[in-house]
Amino acid sequence: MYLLSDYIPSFNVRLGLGLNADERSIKRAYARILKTLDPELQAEEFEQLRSDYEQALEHVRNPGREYYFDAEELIFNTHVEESSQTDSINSSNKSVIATHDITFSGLIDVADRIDNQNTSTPYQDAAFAFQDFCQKISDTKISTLANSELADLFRNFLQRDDLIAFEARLHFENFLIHALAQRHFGQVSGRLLIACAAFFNWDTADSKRLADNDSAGHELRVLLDNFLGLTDMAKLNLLTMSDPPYPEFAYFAVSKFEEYKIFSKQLFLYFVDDKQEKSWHQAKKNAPFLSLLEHAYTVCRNRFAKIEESSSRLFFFVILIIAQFLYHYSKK
Amino acid sequence: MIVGIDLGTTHSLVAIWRDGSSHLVPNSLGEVLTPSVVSIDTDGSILVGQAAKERLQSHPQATVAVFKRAMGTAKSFQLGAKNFRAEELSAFVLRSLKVDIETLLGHAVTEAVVTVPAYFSDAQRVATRNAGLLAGFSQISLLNEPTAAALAYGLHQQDSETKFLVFDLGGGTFDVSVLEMFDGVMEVKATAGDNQLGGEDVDAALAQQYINKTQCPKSALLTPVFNAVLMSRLEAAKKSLSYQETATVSMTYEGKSFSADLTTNTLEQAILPLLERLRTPVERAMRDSKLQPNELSAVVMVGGSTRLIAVRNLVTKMFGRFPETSLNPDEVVARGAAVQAGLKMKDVALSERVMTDTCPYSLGIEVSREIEAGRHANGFMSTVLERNTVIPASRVQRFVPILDQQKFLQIIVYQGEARLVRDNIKLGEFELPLPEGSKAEVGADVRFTYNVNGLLEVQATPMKNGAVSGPVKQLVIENSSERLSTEQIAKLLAELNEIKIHPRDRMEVRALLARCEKHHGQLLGTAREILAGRISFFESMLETQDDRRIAPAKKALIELAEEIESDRFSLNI
Repeated sequence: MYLLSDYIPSFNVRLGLGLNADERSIKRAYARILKTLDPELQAEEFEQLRSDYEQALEHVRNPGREYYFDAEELIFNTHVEESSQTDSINSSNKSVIATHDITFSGLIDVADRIDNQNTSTPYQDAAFAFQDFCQKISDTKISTLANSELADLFRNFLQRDDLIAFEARLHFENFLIHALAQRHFGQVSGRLLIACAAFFNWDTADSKRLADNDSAGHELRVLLDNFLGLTDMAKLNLLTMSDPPYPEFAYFAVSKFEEYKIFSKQLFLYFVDDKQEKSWHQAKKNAPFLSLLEHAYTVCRNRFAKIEESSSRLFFFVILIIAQFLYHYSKK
Repeated sequence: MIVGIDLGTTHSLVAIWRDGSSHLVPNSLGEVLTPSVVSIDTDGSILVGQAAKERLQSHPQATVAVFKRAMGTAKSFQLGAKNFRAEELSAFVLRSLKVDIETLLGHAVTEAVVTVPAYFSDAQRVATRNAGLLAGFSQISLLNEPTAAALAYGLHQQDSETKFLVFDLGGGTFDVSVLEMFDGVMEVKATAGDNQLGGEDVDAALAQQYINKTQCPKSALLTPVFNAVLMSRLEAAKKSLSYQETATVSMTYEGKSFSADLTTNTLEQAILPLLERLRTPVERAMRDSKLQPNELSAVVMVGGSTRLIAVRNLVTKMFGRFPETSLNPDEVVARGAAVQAGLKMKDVALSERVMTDTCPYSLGIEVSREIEAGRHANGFMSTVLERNTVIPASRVQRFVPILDQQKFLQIIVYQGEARLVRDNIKLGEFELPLPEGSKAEVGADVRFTYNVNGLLEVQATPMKNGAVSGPVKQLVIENSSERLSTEQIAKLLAELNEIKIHPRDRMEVRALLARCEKHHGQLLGTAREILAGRISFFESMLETQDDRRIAPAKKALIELAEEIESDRFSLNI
């Protein structure tokens, strides 16, 4: 009788290796076979070898996490359509604009998170720079900055000498990911997230950085996903139906109001009647971020309620009655 | 015989693999660096290299440089009365290198390994290959520049296992590759870059700074002669900063003189925005390779622009160590191309060596997602072949239609990392007819194949209930103005063969005359008259075709040119 764990994986067999081959011998076996191939003319053999090699390495590096596949079986049943994103939005339900004041608790909390045991210079540099960053964010009136100005502020900050070193920058990025996931920057978390994502390329199809930061990274990933996955209309629905809005969405709403006049007009036509347009402009003028959103929220909710009880429902009933009447009449 | 060619933005080299090592091949002037500059002479013949570079200042309308940046685009350059695409201009350079190597070897060469920036897109790669065909090569293999540099570097590494990063900042492009070497296998783990960033941008930033400082009218930059002269002086001043603190650059425009000092400080200021752009690719390559900075055993600097102190300082700070600069940054890519040529020829000295590369971009197609029941949003990128997959590679993915009884599947191919296709680069599209059936029954297998030259093929097979149900359709990369069709290449080749190329044996004389004409255009008064006198004397000696009389005249002319150049930052002769 054999134990399941005694089977030598097929990729190891093809590489001419035993069960307990280590990384060194896998590489040696790969090198030996590779030298007998011409990748240009023997593309298929090369791909088989390459996939065996990658699996074997994965097998020794992360036992139990390897993905078993053969080159010829590599067919994913990916549907062109993908399931709705709305569920995940509802599940992540943290408030970023619950209060009016712009203070935040990030400084203290994140300082706690900093590992005092880690005395390497890049780590200390990054921790120090991060505290400065928190200070700077709380000192600056972020709500008055345009998105491009916020991005500039962020970029300029990262020019600091102590953040030039590769490792320091990595640590700094980790701090940021954790802080953003916990909304440590209060209302500006959403806008900061977008700025950071653009700067660090978190937004690309396979950002490894977010994946490296387990739950915090996952949290941000979901937020960015939602932001991308929603249509404009879905974003509007979210704005009007949910309380309170999520950071990525809040950012979206504000950027749309400020940057795309056309879109706000569509929004008016959809939710708000013409008479109220004036008050929207008013709100936008005085508006820091928060009041604008709150205003948008109340106006839209009122309007939404009105539609339900008045016009559309009434119209529907009238048509129904007429239809019934006509039906009876024709029968006679 | 396969030759290795480094087709660079500012200069090009050719090298061969012989007797177990790489050898750079000198051009007609005895130099290994041939400037990638093409000029059309007054008699209609084409000049390539140093002679053309000299004419950049005296005949800017008849001369072009930096055309590598336009590879893969429909941009055309006017050269006298004719218009040329970047492929054709590159073909002239390649042809001149081909003649150099054929002169050395004494027989025709038909096959070449041509290096391209690793971050070159599909269109740019196709254009480079076409340039090779137009130059008269019958077979062209492409090799990524940082990989070439790594091949040359790795050849001399004694350690059996080593990991290193190649930082390649050339005249017009920037590449970063992370490599691992073990048991003679050279493996590219990750590549990133910016194909519009290089030394030329530094020069442009310096020119802008110069104009601001001296309050010289901005319109001056639009004057071809002024622009060409300023650029060459700034370049010379920039290079001189590696051994001196300050260099003064003087210019005259519309009768007024301008002068400004270029110092290490001002240089650093001018290139600060460019330095920040260097960071992103480095970080991405490191991330993709899943290595920590301390696992690297070296950071190898390649490309002429890595001589800039500011660039070296940045790299030193980023990695907390000094970069490896023992290799000649101008030559290492060509040497690596020669190594690759040796590998392809199965040279005995390289029998224990093998190299694998990766694709620099993610490749995929546009898909729709269901946002809510019955509502779809389009414009999402579904990646089929992820970036940094080892090539050659082939991947299949199945896609299904949105509707029942859908007649066609629109397959639009993109390259890039963004999740919305509008931020990626479209490569082409085609329609695949689908068999009849519900959306649960039918679908299409889309196969992406990426070959060792970094060129892409896309095939789609219609499927029904898991079985093939129709003819395979293949992506025909758009017949856009950016790409040349096979017929166009044949036609261009015939046209280019008609064009007279300046004879190689008279190249040295032509280059000398071009150099003197350049100075003639810039000098004033007596100095100009003296130079004019020497030039016509030399030309009259040439007509005698008597070497004994030509030689002293030539020597006198070269001495005068050198005298003028020794005072090259100002015009005070």
